[in-house]
Amino acid sequence: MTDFEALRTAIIKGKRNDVTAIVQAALEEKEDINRLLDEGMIPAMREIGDKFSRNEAYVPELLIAARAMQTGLALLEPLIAASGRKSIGKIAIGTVKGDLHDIGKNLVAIMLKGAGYDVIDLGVNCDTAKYDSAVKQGADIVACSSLLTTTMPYMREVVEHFKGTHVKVIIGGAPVTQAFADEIGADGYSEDANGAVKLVDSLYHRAS
Amino acid sequence: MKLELHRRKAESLADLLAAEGCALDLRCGGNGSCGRCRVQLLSGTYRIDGKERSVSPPGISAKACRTVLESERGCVDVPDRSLRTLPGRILTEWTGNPPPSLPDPVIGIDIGTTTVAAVKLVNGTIVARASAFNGQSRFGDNVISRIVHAGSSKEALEEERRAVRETIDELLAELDASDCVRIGVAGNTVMSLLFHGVDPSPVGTMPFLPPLRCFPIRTARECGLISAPPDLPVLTIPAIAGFVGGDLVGGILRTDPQPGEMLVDIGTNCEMVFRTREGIFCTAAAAGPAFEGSGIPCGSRAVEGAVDHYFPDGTFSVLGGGEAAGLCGSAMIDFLAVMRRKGRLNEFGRLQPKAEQFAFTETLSIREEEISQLLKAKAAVAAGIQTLADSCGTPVRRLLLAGGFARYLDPANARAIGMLPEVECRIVGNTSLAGAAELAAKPELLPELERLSALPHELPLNALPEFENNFIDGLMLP
Repeated sequence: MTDFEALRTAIIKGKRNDVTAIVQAALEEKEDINRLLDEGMIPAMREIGDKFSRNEAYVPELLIAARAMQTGLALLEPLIAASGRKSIGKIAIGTVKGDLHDIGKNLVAIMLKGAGYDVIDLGVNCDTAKYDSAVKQGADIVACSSLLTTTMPYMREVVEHFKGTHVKVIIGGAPVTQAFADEIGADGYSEDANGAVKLVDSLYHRAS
Repeated sequence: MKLELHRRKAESLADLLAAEGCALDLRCGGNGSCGRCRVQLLSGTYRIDGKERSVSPPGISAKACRTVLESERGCVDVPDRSLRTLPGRILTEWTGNPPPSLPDPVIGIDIGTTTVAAVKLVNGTIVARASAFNGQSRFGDNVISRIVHAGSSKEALEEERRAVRETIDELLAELDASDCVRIGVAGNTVMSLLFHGVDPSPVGTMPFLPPLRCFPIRTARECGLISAPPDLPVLTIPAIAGFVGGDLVGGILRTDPQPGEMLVDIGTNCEMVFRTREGIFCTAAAAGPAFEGSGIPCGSRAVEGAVDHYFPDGTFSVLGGGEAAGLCGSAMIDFLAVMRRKGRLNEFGRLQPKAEQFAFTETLSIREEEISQLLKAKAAVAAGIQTLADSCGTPVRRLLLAGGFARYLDPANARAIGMLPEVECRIVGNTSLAGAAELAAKPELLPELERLSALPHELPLNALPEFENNFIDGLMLP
């Protein structure tokens, strides 16, 4: 029997090795992947995210938990496709052209995965062609990150590029503000990783 | 200090106060990011970040740079900590061999992003020192904001060039450059480029290459310096890479790292140069300005009145004596180490027993969220050092700590919180300034410096997968 409570605690506390042990044991016992995700990992990530939003957890704890989540997801990912799990939305995420800082972007990617979304991580230095390639694979939200004020202007090009299509462009990163998002006409902005999940939820009209 | 104000057209409260002779701390350039210019709004109607607010009840705290007085009159209270402070303690010392003995006076200048320091040398001895805030600070408090401003127009580039030259001119006047035979200059890459009037924009985006690494010898006149004889030669230490500049080359010259020794300049941008048997490797990690007090209300730079050390019994020492006005980076590191040792902080930096903040004095306290900022800064330093050493496959034997931050640092506490590895630390002082002075006294060093600056191999930290892992490990308190 999988101890879902222990799995949730291991993720929230960022205990990577515990997560690996519990998930591996569960897979050996042929535990239902959907249950592992829906009763263990996804609620855990939602919980730490909500704690963060309530100022009860801070970025270090969020990063540590996200890494534990990623460890568990890496074990499940090869099996998810075969499980016939229905996608609730597909998001492409990448650090924009000219920038290679990706710790914040990676955190948002894991938080989105942790909320049950399909995420295509395009890595760093992404131009519009790269984002396009993910849209061809079915992404309908493009999330752009930047750490350097010098690379922020590229977000405007991404927004312009997808204008008039069904693709929604959302932006974030340390120097990015709501005012900048409004100025360039982005479809959304979030100042932190958990806010990015809420933003995506709202774009998909999901209550969170 | 309470001030009655009259409205003027579309000026920020910070501008209004400056016109009243009350200049505030606008180290971020007045873009609302550092929060150092907070004032209490006592009466009147204001627009804060574009939103109208009338003051009732009185006492709302607001960033003066983001606030505009809307009513005809208003009254605000300006706390002392929001006033622009003078640069009290800029490091002008260094260790190691004395600079070459030359009977003619020379001047060495270290152009930092925040501060500029200069010394005058006669016969290898410092005869005068001077320092000031970099006048470019009004265009932003970090190199990236300076790049953005300089890249926005030709005029903006010229503004920044002029700002740093004016600062240097003040120092030259103070040191009396009239009898000098040469000036040596060192700085990070962006500062050196701006001093030479070169647009640093390429440094701001991948692959972060500087448009120029080696700088021509110029005369004071060509550099636009008016407080020095017009024909005085000005020599600049060459840079290594976009984020590893001539300041580090000066450091290599001065400290001559041996295999296993790593030269580290801890600052907003933490630069590292590592010598191994295979060669010299360098990198830079963005630690952010938390240790300089940005985003930490109880934080302070190392100026008069700053707490430099926090002791296990809860007492502390203050630079220059007097009342504690804030904690500088070294005291924050002491605080983390002391509190962790006592079990008052858990491994995630959360206060035990549960509390939202910890009070040092009645007026100085730190919130948990701010502690998390410190953890991020120390994690960046730790991850930078570890990733550089690991990717070179060489253990660090000794750290050579350069720069102002290391001056008050207690290395044992920095090791205890996992910021520095468990190796010997040698504090080497302002080796950038020392290098600049040495070059001024011994101009034939320039070709040697150009050779040195071409040696290090640059490692892009963010492209190494282990960096993120090391960073996340580094967030915790051992």
